[in-house]
Amino acid sequence: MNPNLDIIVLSLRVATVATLIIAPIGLLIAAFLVRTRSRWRFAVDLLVSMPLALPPVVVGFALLWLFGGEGPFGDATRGIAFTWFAMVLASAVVAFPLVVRSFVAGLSQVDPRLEFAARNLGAAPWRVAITITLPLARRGILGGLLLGFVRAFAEFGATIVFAGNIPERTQGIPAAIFSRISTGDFNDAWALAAVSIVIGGGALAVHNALVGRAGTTQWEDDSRNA
Amino acid sequence: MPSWAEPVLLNGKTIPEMPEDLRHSFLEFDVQVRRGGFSLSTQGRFDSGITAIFGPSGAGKSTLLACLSGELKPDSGMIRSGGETLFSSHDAIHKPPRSFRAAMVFQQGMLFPHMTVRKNIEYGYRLRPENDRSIAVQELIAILRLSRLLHRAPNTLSGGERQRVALARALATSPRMLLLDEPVASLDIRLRNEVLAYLKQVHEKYQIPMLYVSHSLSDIMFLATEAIILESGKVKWFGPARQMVMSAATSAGGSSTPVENIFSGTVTGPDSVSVSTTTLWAPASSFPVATDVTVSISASEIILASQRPQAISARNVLFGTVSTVNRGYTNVIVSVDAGIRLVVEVTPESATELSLQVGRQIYAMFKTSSILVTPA
Repeated sequence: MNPNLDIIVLSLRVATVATLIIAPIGLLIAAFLVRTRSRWRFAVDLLVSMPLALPPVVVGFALLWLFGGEGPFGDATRGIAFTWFAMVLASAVVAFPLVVRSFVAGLSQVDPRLEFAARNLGAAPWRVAITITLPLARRGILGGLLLGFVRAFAEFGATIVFAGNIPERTQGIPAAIFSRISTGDFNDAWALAAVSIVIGGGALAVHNALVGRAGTTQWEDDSRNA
Repeated sequence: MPSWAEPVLLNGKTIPEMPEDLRHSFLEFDVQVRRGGFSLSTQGRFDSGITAIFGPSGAGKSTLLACLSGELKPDSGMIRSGGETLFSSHDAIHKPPRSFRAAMVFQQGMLFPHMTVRKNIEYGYRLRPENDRSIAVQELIAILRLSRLLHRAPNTLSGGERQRVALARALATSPRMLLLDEPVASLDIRLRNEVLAYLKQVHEKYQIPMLYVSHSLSDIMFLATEAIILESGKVKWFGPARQMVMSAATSAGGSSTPVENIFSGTVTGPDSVSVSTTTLWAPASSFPVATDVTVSISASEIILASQRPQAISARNVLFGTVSTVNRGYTNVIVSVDAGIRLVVEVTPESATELSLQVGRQIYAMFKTSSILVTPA
């Protein structure tokens, strides 16, 4: 078995699981940001957006402190660091703001009066969410998932601090490329870089096709459906 | 049946006593809402008629509908419908919107853009338990003439079609009442008349009580039996709709609100329609004989004369009796019983010259081209 293949599969698996974990939490937070008038919105928005502003290394360092045994959770979470799941957590945190932003954009396109109409016709809140809100916000939501996957797939800085770069355990594509470059194994580095470009670029292309060209907003599109 | 037999001026907390047999009136409410500088404090009881809610923007009309649909929880008060308490701050009862069964029709239709017309209509219908469905979707499709639209997407519909679908969607839930939030305000006059005719037809068929929010005195006069004037969150006036229209049309802001006479009629020839027992000369050549139509005539297009004119180009000359006169600063609104009840707007000077007063016999005239005939 080609060791590079294991690395690619690990990266894909980590990015997929991270995206799946982000999705429900991100939706709840986006719904909170879009649909409530809570005075905590500003603080919550800032908190979930912080990973955008921080060097990923700092995010990894914070995760290491939080879950590494010295932090608030104590020994209970000591086992997470330097595992496969640490990679998932690190990429999830870094990808989270992008996902939430995309979800927020999607949910903002949904006219609250349509949800009002659905409730008025007898739908319970969960049914309104499934039959009205999510379908109408679908592009923002699918776009957010793809963007989250792309970001998680490319994640390096936070991961290497929190999960390390342990061959066959916590070495995804970016960490593997870093190691290959360090050891002068440029052919392998180029090969993995090419895989990154194909998978990440492909997912990004699907995202762009879905969300629309730069310069057209979903609003312009939906105004035709209003 | 009017819920309040006589016009009642409401001040503070007085509600007229209900007769025993109307104790289970479809809707009874007393709600208070405070939001920043705005406060709504209204109470009322309605029965099966059409009650118009009239008032300036910001008066609290939409807030009231939001409360009565269960969408907005009032700060205090109670809402009862069909003997069921839906909201009571005293007993800490707050039922979800689906228990209110007060179906809304919004100004913009608010059709679900990702569903076909049929899916829209069936949305609420499917959510009602089978033994609770008193209105069949097939019947609504027939009455509102929607069969050819069923597979269309909402964004391909005209404004009038959209509102017909919205009405069908609301009725398909077999609601206890309909809440209409300016359903024809964004339509041009022809589509407006068409939708108004459907609303009237639907009310006659199903006898579902309607609350009808509107800025248009013409709509109110055509549709409503009672009317409420809401101002700064309070009920300023309650009484017969016609009386409200007469006085509102002469109030300070009223002169900017044109009043139209809207009638349901039947085509009797290429240039004639009958409205009850009166035949009017009207441009009806685009409709086959015996078509049901809506006929509208602006109150300001009608000319009054004390004697029968000898030679005149206006072909419609009706003889009748003045039944009400409302004098304003800039206009006078006169109601004339001439087989049909006409509302006429004249200047204060003309009113004096013609010595317009209740009981005065008078000729009312208007040109054929002043009449707009639209499909019913």
